[in-house]
Amino acid sequence: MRRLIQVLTVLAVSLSLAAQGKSLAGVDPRGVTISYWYQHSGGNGDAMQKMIAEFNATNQWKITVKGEYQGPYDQIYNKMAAAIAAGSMPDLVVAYQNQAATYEVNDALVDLNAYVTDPAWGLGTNLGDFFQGFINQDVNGQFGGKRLGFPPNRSIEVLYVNMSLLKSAGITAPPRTWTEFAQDCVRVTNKEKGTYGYALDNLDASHVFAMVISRGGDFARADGRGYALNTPQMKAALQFMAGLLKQGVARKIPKKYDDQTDFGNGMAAFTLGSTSGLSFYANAVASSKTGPAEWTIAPVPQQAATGTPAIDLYGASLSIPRTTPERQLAAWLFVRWFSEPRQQAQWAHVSKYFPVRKAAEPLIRDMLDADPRFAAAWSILKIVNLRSEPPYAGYDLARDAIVAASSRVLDGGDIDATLAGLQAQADKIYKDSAP
Amino acid sequence: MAIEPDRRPGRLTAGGIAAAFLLVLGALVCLMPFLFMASTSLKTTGETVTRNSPILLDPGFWPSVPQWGNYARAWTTARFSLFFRNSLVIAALTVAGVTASSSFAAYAFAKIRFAGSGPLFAVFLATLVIPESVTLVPSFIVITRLGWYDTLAGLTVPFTASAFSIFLLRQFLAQIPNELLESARIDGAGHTRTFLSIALPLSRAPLFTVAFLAFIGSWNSLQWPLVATRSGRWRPITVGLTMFITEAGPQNELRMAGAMIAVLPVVLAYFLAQKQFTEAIARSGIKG
Repeated sequence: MRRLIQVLTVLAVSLSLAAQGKSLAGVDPRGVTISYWYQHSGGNGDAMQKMIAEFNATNQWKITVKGEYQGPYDQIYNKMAAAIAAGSMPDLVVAYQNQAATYEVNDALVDLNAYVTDPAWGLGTNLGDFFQGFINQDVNGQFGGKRLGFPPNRSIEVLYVNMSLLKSAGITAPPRTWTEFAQDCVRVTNKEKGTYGYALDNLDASHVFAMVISRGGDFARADGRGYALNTPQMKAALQFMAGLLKQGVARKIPKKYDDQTDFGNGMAAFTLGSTSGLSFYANAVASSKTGPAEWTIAPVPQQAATGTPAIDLYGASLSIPRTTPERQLAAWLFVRWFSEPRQQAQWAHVSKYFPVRKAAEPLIRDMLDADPRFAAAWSILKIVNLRSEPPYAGYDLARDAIVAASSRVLDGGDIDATLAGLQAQADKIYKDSAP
Repeated sequence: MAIEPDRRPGRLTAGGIAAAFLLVLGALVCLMPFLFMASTSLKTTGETVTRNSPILLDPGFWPSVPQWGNYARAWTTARFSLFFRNSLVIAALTVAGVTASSSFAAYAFAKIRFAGSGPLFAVFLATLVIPESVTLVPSFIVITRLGWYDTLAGLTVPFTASAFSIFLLRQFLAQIPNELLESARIDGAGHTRTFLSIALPLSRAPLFTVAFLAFIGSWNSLQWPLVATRSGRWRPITVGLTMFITEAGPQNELRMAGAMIAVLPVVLAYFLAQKQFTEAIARSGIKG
């Protein structure tokens, strides 16, 4: 069935392109120099520069990529707004799906469907080797199915579990449902010892999203034409968190990463976080005198124990701004090279992100063998329903509104009025930001 | 016969003690972020996560063993040698530009009568309420068209004129008696000579303030340097600090070590210009 869906997707895209009359025939990328704006610094930045140097030295078209650190994501986003207005865009840029959508409102990006499926330059049968949840994330319904980016790596939302604390309360396995989760929170909470259940980070809308999709909901409307934030699932998620706080079995963290602190110090039984934070959690636990002797990761709890868990998918993509056919193709060829299993494995070793290709698995076997938690995360990836947050232009504003609304509810505000206000605010954001 | 107030040392009053207590408390509140920054800069990565108490007397506030190597790591990881030098060059040029342009403009607004000077000054003042984010894109387009993208000129020239600095200096210069300047004019001095020989030397304190504020503005600037540059060639130290921001977890010990390095010149500049700074604010008639 999955295979059939893949074939139909490729067919639909090909027909669409044929109808548009787009073709890469005759485009010559030889000798082109392109610029690539990215956010990687430190070890990741060094590794990225090495990989770029390897591509520059080995690619048959003598393409030269100039990799340039441009600050964190939000700064790159600001910079792109200026660059689009001034007509001085890079040839390749890192962008979240909603950021790419905002760029495309200005008709600034290339639809990568043409490149993915091109007979000469496309992915061919390799397309089936990509995790479908990853590769579908950049196909944007708000822009008629245009593929506005391509995934260089990904991570997923998981439940970090302090097994030592659970076992001390007689619990032998991570919770599979929110009901079990709430019960576990109660059982591990001990005011004298300072332990509690859930280190609640409501500063990030992605955690709210994780709780909503696990209850069968979504932030986007089913028709992909707006937000769905005043829903029973959203209400249930917020009420659930408020209830845990009211019982005193959860703690709302005051600032980013304080959940890692409480987890590292062995105080919190659970946190929600990205698998890309594994090394930071490991460091926190190892550095603490009171850290858990045993900890693991598990799928985010769901509404029911049966069925496929719905898990939030994380990761920015690579988008190709409109420049010239030659530079666009050169940028695509670098993206394609970076997505090959060898390069994916190489990048995973440094960044600890998941490769986007299944064929990279044998090449990261050493990582999987050396780190049981990374191996657990990789296993989770294969059994879950990968879900993405809305790729709408302006979603960054909606995220801020969601965080503000959830804070109001957790602070005792009226949930119905808050969600009605949030929906109205999100509708306006969607309308104002739409192409 | 007037009675002198008793100024003998050692006489404590309840009001004095309360005032001293409040002042010490206020100083501690102001000092806390710096102490937190300093202590975090000397922790291990793990300690920044597991020992991050905000309470001064809590052992978790301080590192178990100071990690002085964090400073060396921060310096090399974020290319601070280059970025520090760049920041100094950018700040020096900006300060020179702002003090020169502002003092000339302020003198003109304060002491030269010309048609439209009032409305023109009002337009200058109006620009103070325009936020930087609004001017970002137009400014970027201008420097791109001028071929200044990723150049030192693009980082400095747009900031060599400052409406606030002009306002501050004008307020001060307006207080210089016209008779003083007119006597120079009677002796044959033109406006330039009068400005350079009389008005400027009298404006030392506010000029220090303008220079200091321009220095801080330039030194702390982040958004514009990131937008106006492509490579590391002329990027300042603030860009280096962003390199410690990661998606999944903090590198707070390096960020704070970097911030300590970055903040030192500002603190130094403040101590050097402190007297002039407070004097100028007092004399300009600006109230906080």
